[in-house]
Amino acid sequence: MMLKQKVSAAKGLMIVLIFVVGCSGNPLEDTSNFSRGIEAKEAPMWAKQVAEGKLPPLAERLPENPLVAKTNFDGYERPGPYGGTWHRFHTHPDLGTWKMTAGYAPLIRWKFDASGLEPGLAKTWEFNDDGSVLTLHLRKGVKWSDGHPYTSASFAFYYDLCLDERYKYSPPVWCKVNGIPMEVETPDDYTIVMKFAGPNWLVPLWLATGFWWCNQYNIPKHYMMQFHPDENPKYKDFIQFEKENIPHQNPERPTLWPWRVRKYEKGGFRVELERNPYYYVVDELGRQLPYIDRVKTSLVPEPQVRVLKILAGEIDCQYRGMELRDLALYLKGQEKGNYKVRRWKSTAGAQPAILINWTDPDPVLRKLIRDQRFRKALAYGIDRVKCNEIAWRGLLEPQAATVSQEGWHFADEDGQTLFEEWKRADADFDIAAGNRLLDEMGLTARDEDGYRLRPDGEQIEILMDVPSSNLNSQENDIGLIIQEGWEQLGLKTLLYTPPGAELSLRRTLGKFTISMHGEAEMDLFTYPDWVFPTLPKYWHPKVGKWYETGGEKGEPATGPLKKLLDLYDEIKKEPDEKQRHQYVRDAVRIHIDEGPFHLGSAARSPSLLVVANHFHNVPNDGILGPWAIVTPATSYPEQCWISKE
Amino acid sequence: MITYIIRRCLIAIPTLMAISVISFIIIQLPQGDYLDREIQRLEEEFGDSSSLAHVEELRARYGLNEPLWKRYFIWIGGFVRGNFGESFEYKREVHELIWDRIAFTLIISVGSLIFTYVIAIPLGVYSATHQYKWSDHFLTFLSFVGMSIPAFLLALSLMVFAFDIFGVPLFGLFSAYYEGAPWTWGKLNDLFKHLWIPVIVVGINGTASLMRIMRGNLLDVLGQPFVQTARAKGLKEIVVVSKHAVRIAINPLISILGMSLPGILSGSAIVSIVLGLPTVGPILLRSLLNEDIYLAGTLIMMLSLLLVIGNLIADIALAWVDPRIRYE
Repeated sequence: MMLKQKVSAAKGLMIVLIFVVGCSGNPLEDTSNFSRGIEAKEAPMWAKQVAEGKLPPLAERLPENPLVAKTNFDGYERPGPYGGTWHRFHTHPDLGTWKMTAGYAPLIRWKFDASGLEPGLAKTWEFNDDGSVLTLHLRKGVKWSDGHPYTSASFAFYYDLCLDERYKYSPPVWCKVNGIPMEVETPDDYTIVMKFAGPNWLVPLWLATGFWWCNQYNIPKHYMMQFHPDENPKYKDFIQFEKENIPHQNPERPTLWPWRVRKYEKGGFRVELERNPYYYVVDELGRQLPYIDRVKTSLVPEPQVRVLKILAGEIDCQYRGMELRDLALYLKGQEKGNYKVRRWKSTAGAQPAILINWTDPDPVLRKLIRDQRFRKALAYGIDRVKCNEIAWRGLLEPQAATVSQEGWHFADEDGQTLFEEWKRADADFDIAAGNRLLDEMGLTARDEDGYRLRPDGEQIEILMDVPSSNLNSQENDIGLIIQEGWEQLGLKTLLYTPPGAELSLRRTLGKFTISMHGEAEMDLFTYPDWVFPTLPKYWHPKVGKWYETGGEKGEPATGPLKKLLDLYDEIKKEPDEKQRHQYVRDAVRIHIDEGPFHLGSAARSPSLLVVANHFHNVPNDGILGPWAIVTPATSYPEQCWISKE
Repeated sequence: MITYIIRRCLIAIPTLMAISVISFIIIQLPQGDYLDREIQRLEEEFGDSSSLAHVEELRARYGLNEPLWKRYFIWIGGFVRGNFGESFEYKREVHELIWDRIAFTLIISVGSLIFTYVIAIPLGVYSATHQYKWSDHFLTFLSFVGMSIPAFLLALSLMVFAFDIFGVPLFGLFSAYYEGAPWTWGKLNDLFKHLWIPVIVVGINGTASLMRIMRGNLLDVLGQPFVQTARAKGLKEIVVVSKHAVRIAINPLISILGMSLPGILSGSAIVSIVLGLPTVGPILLRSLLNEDIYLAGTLIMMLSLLLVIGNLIADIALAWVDPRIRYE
């Protein structure tokens, strides 16, 4: 029935369309709402409402000690006028790229240069002596976007939900020490006390990491209670609660973001946001942020359509979502599209890393792989310069697989020296040295095709998983270059391109011999798995499983992997930050001396962003890399402004 | 006639059921599920999937741990009651996502169909009546070019030319200003400004081949005795052609109508992906790639339903025109 109606409606529309030509022009952006300059203390968008008494005056909407946006970066010009609309796109309906930009309202923030933490919703925080009690002091007078006070009750509410068995999410990993979840106390509206079963020094980092944690623990209790089964007998479970609690989908749900969602078109195809009248961050002059009134963002999953949108000048400012292969096109279109392309760092340590499965399902191969000489030979067989030149047009750097050089573990001179050594470890293309090592291992017997034989007389056959995605066509090129190199070592190499889900399944279940994965991490304390085998991922799937499940599943760690895990356990217990960094460096030393466990190709690509010429206060340089450090949100994009042309 | 229609409708039901079973199985044949895809996607886009903190819990919530047959019955049970399930990717009910896309798909498909017939029939007639003249040769040449250019290539070329010459991106059905805006005359006008490209691009292959068919049919008919008789009676050539010959020659084109719907629907999917149109095609492709099973299943069912209805209409029309069909 419904379909028929739609069909007839569609036909009707067609008929109407045929008769409607040329009714009205195409009005461009409304610019009447711009403030003249920086004299305005209040955005014109609200000034009228305040005058009419519909909104309390600015002083009542701001907290006692508002957070002052940091401006200590190259590219910051000056405080801007209020007004305008920020046009951009998102690549996926979950709005991840937007949340990375302006969905970051954590208790504690990462600094923009990723050198440590700074206050967010919490003014200060402190541990007791043994690191088992963390006390956070909130800013007084912070309000949700509907004007309701933000207090410690919000965090307590979130944690109660975690403990509620009817709620699907259990307490997250950082809440637990030895498997025992923390206790949360809120002695007053502005104090949160977390009590752990033992030292848990990394919690502030977890609170600051990613947009996802803060969006989970900041729940507007006063609004969400209406969907709570205890409060509303209409609901038997939390299904409706969870739907209403998605901050980017529900315009009714109060938020702490600089821009609140005003309109969410089903499926996230278009989302409109407007300034949050109660936003708790101000500029140096004490003027409430954001400067820009509205944000319009639409879903553009097709990369080529994104390119056209940018070339057409339809985008005001876009972080992420541009591919390096289109750089020349973007540069060419700068003048016509009235924008500039900036190149930030991606800080990737390997694009991609070549993962060698420590727990290869084939026992003979596994034995070979655990021989350091074999892994070194594989490393010598990769022509990284060629990888860079062919797959990346020479825009990257050939090197061994590392994490991010800008990570805070390597901030001082010693750290950088160590890092340089890591980058160069076994990173030369040297077929002769590789062959020598394999001969030394006794793998001298060859078959009639010249391939080396395993100790059991079979041909050595290395199956390399290569992602099939058209997003990462570089990985296919790199796969071929590596294959060529390894064949010169007398190792039969086959490329295998499983469909996306199968590729990641093979990785997490440890069903591969060689696989690929992009690699970047700034903070190994919270996301340690590149260096420490803590999770069923990357080059250590089964050992990671063993560590993750407390020894129930997977395979126990031995040798260097055991050493690495012991180091990570020390990190969790260590009160001194400097010493924690030292443990990371010790782990890197193990990677250099007893590795490689995963091999590099090319690394450190530029990350493109597009900034229209009328768009201001965007940092010239920064890091658009891993998710855990929430860039560009840490540069306070709410202080970007648009000049009226 | 009525029994014929009823019989045809009844046959459609098991057809659709078979389609639902087969498509649901095929969607789930590749290893892994939606969350594996999601992990993969995050890793590809950001080199890191750390934002998905609770994969196992999510898997339980989406019912991905249930066996295939159980998921099928949950889905199909809801489907017949109008509850299509939830899309994992969009975190929304499927029915909220599909209706306007289906409407836009229909607008483009029906528009292309009309375009095809309106252009192809007169040109075919002209071509046939001017057989072996230079204009016929020229139209023949054009129609072969039209038939052999893939629609997506045409879409891409049009987009590049339009952008180069006018500096306007032609993708989408609306310009940026009207996207998501409520319906106004301005928006309707804007839609119309964008609509002609997909309509032409999708329709061009069909137009070319239809033109050839029309030409051939008409040439056949023009050689028949009744046309000679009409001419001998002294009727004007234009009356002979339009009133007598074309009416007979156009008959087979009705049965082609039913068959051209699948071609136009699949053609519009590719063009929609290239031009970024809000039709069914792009989300169907994404839902299949991401194993967003309920969304993909629903879309396939809806498209199948459209095809079955389209063929039904064509069959009925044919039966109405040609009584012999009814008794076969």
